[in-house]
Amino acid sequence: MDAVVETTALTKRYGSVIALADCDLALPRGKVTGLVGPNGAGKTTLIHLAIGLLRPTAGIVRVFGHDSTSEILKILPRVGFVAQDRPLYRDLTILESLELGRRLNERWDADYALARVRRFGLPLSRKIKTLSTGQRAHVATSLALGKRPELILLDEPVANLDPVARLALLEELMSVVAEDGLTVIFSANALADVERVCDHIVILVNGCPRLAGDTEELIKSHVVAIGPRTQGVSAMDGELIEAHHAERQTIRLLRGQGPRVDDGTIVRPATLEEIVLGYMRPAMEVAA
Amino acid sequence: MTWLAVRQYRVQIVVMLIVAGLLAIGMAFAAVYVAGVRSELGLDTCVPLPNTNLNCVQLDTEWRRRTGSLNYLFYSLYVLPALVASYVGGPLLAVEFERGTHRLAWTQGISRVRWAALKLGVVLVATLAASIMLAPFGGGQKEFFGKTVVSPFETFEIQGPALVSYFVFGLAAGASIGAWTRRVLAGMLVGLLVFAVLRVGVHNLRPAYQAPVIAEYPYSAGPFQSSFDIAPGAWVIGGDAIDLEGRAVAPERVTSLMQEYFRTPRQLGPTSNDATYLREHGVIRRLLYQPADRFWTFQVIEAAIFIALAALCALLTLWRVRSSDA
Repeated sequence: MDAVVETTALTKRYGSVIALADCDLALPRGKVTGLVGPNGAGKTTLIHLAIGLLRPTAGIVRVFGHDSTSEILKILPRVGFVAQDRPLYRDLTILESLELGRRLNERWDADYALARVRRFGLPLSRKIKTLSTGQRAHVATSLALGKRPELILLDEPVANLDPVARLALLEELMSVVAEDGLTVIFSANALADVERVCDHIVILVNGCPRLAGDTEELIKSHVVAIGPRTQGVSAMDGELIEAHHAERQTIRLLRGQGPRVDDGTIVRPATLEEIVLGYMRPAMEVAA
Repeated sequence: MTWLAVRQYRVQIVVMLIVAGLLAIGMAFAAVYVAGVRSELGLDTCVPLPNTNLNCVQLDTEWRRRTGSLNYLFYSLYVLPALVASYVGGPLLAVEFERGTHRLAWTQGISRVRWAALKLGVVLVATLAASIMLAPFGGGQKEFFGKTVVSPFETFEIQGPALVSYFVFGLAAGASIGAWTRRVLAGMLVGLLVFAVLRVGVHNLRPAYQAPVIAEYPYSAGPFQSSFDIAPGAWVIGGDAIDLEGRAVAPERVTSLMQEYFRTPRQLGPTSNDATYLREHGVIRRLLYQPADRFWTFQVIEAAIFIALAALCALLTLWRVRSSDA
């Protein structure tokens, strides 16, 4: 796989809290990768390590083959980044915010950035502090895209947006991806967003990647089996990922083909949400 | 980046320069006005009445009433560097950390160190310009003292290179505390505290910048003549007493000798006064002072100390920005 972000034994500790533990990951080029996981799983930490905002406690993270600690200035011109709270300078106008992009980046496509904010009908001479959350999100992404990056890293890009703005932003991003062949890596809490746009998924739990793979592959390789309630596990063709018991039924997530014996179990393809939850829940229970 | 820093601080920079400009004009005017009122009232040529000096005291009161409030212009120079430390330096970087905008700035195309250095640099240039406007005028406060000979050391801290260096240090100290604590409030309060502690600390070191000149209590002085024969304008930093072998004498011994001396009535004269009495008992009183012509040397030393402290703070700031996690 042609990896754009690659981590080797990457560990990040904040005091005694371990945010990422010995993490080996390779995120593919030219795809939209979703980092999912519960709060505190290490999604933001991973993104911040990749963009050089954090230094690894141990291990290494490479972006385009460059160490993001020592060679960050080689990485920055090729990567657009939007932090979780979409920081912008409150007292700058939208135009001045774009001017900031021009002044602070060697490579800057002013026309492109301007066209983007225009497309959303944003009031160019208004100060950032007067804008709505949705408008700020558009300015922040325009600022990140203005340097025409090859990779864009987004930390919870649609958090705090209403459903309409959420959809608009995601669709807009995806059209950019389609046009320019951009690599996108973003973290998300909302599974629906991931399902809609991601073609690669990494599930992080407690600072470790639990599962990583292409969305289609994952959906193809997992099934949900709903059968009569049993305590034990009947003969299955596949690896049991998670089972939970309803009043009369047992619902299992399986990697593989499902039960061999016809005991009245219904087998159907798993949805992405079921897969993600199936991998997240057991790991979280262990931690709890 | 310079553009961004100027854009971010343009209001503060303009306010700083306007305040400094007005204050400089105000002080220049005040010094001339105060001297003018004094000569208009004829205070320095006032001849006391035969049995009272009340007439001259009244003139003096009138002079102080008419001019006294202008003195606050000069006193403000003691406070302004502390305000720069607290209100300009403290939030300079801390506000970026608090609002998360450092994550925006650090992920554009320039290095963190360059970002912090240019922010600091732009505000430093403005602070320098403002304080250089003020530096020539602080000495004008001497007009308020109502004395014919004023030691330049009396206005040492509100003029010249020393004053400029306080501003520079205040900015750097506030900025570094803000960068280390990442909290605006901490930057402002602790920055102010650090500034004040070092400012007072160095103040207490100042008498020792150069070995003081020593004057011995004179023999030749007339009755009750307690002044030392030293050049005018000197900065007296203290006194002590030694015995004839040059060893220090405890102040208690001097005090008790003086009490003894004043208890016994005697003829006073050039060869019979408190100084001769002390020497008869093997004690020589001395005065330690810094002559007026050392003023500029002291200014340069003081400024060098604070510029060095400011440079240290700036380095600590940049080091913190470079090595810390976002």
